Amino acid sequence: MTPPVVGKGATSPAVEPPPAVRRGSPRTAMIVGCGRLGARLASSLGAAGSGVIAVDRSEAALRRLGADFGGFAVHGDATQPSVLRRAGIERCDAVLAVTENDNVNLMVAQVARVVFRTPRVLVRVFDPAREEIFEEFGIEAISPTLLAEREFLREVLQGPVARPVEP
Amino acid sequence: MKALLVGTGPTLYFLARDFLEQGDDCTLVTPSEEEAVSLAANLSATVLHGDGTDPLLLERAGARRADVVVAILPADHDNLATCQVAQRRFGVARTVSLVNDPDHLQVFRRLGVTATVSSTQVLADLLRGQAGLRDLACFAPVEDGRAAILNLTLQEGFAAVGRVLDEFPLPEGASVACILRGAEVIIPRGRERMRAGDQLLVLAVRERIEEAVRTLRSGS
Repeated sequence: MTPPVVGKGATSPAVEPPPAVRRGSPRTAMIVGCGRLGARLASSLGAAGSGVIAVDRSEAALRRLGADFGGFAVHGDATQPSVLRRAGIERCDAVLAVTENDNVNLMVAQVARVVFRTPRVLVRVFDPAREEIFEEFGIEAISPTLLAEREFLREVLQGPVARPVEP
Repeated sequence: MKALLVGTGPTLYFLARDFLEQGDDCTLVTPSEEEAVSLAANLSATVLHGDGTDPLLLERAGARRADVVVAILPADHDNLATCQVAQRRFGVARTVSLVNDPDHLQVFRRLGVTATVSSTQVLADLLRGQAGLRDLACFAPVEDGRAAILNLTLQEGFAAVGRVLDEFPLPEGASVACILRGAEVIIPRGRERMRAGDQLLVLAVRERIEEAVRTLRSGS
């Protein structure tokens, strides 16, 4: 499945290799927001061989990482540049901003790009209307809303022809 | 001028009142319904209730025609979002953001916000320097807190009491801009003698605030 990607510099490769063998997998990735998505990403990227730094302002959220998580868990507010620096953002080659709050994600992503010059920054944005905010900074946005919309439409428009339910 | 103010609390109210008194056209957006009702009752301004970082709501609030957008929400990331949506989507020429984290003063400007305002920077510097706030009635940061105007009341026994202003060794980068003495407002030319009970409005660059206050109090 190719996620719909919006924003400048975003490309959708025709064939997506499985994460574990993908050559471009980051050496060190920072994941901001350790909710369901963040925790899964942390675990998958760790399994793919990346060093992972997970940041969340809630200690309870960091416990989602589980016992087999081999990276760093940092408790702090990632909207503060000083917290990002202490967490080690300067040695990360990718930052994934996936908190539940669009504005937090967009701000962390921009700070990562503009202040810390992180090479690759991906951000989750629920509201597709906010994309103008960041497109000039070379941030790649993934919208769960657009993603779901595309899947639903694909199923509805190209899926099996509907049949009446048998009595 | 058309101003769009996004925020909460007394700052929003007084800022709006100030704009209206200057004869500006003013629209307010606040996240709390209760606050919106109260603002609408007390100000002759259009008040909308909702998420002031939402492009759709900002459009309804007239962001396209606004000359200035001011964001004074509690969270820095929301203020940044409001300013960036206003600037990038609606082409607002001037955006002003309140900032809590002093690190954001410069960062937000690099991200396109016209002006950033921090009330914490000068206060933090003063507290760190232990200059003490006892005689300081108020101060106002200037240029992101790179300088400040502070209001110091001279107490009996202060080093400055009885001294002529231009003979008093204030540090470089600090000066007495005004003396408030009872009902009198004196713009000093240098020959004025300072008295106990005078309120001095001192203008100082950030690095000299503490030294200026200390010198006026206890000499060098």
